[in-house]
Amino acid sequence: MEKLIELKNIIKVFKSHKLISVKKDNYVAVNNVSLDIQKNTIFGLVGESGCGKTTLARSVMMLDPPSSGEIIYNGKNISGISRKELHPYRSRMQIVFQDPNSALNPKMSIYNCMKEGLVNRKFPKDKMDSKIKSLLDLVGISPNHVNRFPHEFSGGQKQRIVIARALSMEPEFLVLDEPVSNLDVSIQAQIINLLLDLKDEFSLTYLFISHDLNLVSYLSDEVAVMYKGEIVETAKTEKIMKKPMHPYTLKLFSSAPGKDSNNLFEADDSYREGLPEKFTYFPPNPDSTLQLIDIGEDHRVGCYTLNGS
Amino acid sequence: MLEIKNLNISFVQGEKEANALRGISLSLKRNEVHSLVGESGSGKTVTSTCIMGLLPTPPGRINSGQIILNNQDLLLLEEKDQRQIRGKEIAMVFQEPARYLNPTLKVGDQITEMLILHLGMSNIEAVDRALEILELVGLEGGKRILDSYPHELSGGMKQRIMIAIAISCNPAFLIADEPTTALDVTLQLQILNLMLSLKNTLDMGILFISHDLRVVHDISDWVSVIYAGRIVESTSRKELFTNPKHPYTRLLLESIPDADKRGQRLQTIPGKVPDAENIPGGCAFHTRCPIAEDICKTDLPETKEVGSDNSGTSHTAACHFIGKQWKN
Repeated sequence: MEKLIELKNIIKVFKSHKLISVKKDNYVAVNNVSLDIQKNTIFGLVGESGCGKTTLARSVMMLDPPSSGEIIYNGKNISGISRKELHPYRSRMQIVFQDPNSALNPKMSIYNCMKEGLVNRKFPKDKMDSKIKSLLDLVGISPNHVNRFPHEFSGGQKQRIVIARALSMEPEFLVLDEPVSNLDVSIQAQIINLLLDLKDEFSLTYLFISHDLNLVSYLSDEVAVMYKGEIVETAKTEKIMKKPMHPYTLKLFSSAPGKDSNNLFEADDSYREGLPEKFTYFPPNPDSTLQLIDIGEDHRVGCYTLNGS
Repeated sequence: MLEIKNLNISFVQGEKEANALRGISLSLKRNEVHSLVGESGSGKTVTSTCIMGLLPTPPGRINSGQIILNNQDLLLLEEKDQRQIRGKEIAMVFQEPARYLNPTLKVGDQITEMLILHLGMSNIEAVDRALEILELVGLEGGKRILDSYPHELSGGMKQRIMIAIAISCNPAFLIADEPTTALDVTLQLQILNLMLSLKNTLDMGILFISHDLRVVHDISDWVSVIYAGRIVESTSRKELFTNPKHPYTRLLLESIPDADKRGQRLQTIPGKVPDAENIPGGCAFHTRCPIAEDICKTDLPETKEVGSDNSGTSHTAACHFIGKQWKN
């Protein structure tokens, strides 16, 4: 297995801008995240809203460069380089947003929407038409509809167009930020199948962000659970599904609908199931830092060192 | 018991007519959760607004049907009398609590408003009662919460306030229109558990409207599946999830991703939900159905009893070819 993306200690801080106040408030949205994403796999990122999933994804793509930390893309550190140097990487990383309605410009026909990126990429003009049509065909949109506008399509079709547009840049890496959560149940499955087919066809790598555990466990090869800006647990999907360790992961898993039991898992401060001695899941004092320890076969759990050791 | 009989509603705009509900019948007993599942545009919300008497007419038009509560037809009541029922007998919880709470009023005032209006309480009595209700919906902090504005509360707390307002007058029936869709999974489970416990303590009937079959699985006693303004299948939860009959329900259940299906392709339903303006003739599902034949294009299937076991549970579905298999 080869790493496509390596994140090292990514921190993203948002500074508050208050007009008059002298006090500076910093909000740490992503705190010290390190992850590896292997080539041609699906990496699932789960967590509740506001935990920093999207911020992390935007940082990885350098849309919102991280405050500190390194992003290593295919062996090259792209976090400190200039805009110009970054340019070739832009097309290799693409993103599909949650809401296709706001991701497509309502005043642009589908053709123009798709053309924008290709023009930027200096794609030969004479092949433009056939390229756009073949891309639309690939995602299941009739090429006869290229001159239509976004409002003439349904939600599922719009999401297909957004995917086609992302693919027009011939990316290696796609960030999928809750790509199906705005879609109807019967349409979700269509889009998921499409994404799986495209992954195989173009050997893509996905970072799949979702709050839907069932979906993530179906799709991804590896899963990371994010909580308040930090990764609290990460492992191969089978491992984490079979034996979730961290109390937050357990809580999240127990809350997924569609099971027989309806009890939400709540741990008290003494809960330390499965941890080696000297470690605890809960910060012993407010400034303790979370560390990920390996409990075997790349199953890493976030915990704190106990005081006095 | 709250009964909806053969409700038929369309929206008229100029010469266009969108047939939103095409003969919906369902009944809701006290102390029961009846779920109405369907995709967007299938008529779930129209059903709930119509029960509440909140359907704007025009553009809405009630073509036929009855909604019967305590031997009176709610559709025939005048606005003045409807107002007596709305909130008191039947209450509603909406999808996005943030949109339905008044941002300029303290939440305490929004809860007591109902008590003063419907139960004729004095201000002081109402505040006392409001405090009790807050406890009931699991909000600690009593007076402090009553004195806060909606923006000071989190999403889950707002939804609890919505529920508090809804149950403040001990309604016999609660209509919950996707009450957890805007919430995180952990909160979702808390709110679902809250609704279940309130159902038992207040002996309330809940009409639970949702598009999420997994949530429906967790909360319901009875499930009705709605497609293009008609109920296509209706039975107890257990029967629906173990023994679905209508091809739409079967496909929906199979299209849900979970860990057991890893590596397999998901079952999909081709095409999309028809919009209410051009619902296909015959069985509305025939354009997407894997077992449709010629008769499906012309004849509307009757809703008939299809239960196979002898447990006495009613299981109705509307399909010409119940039980027919298909190849993927």
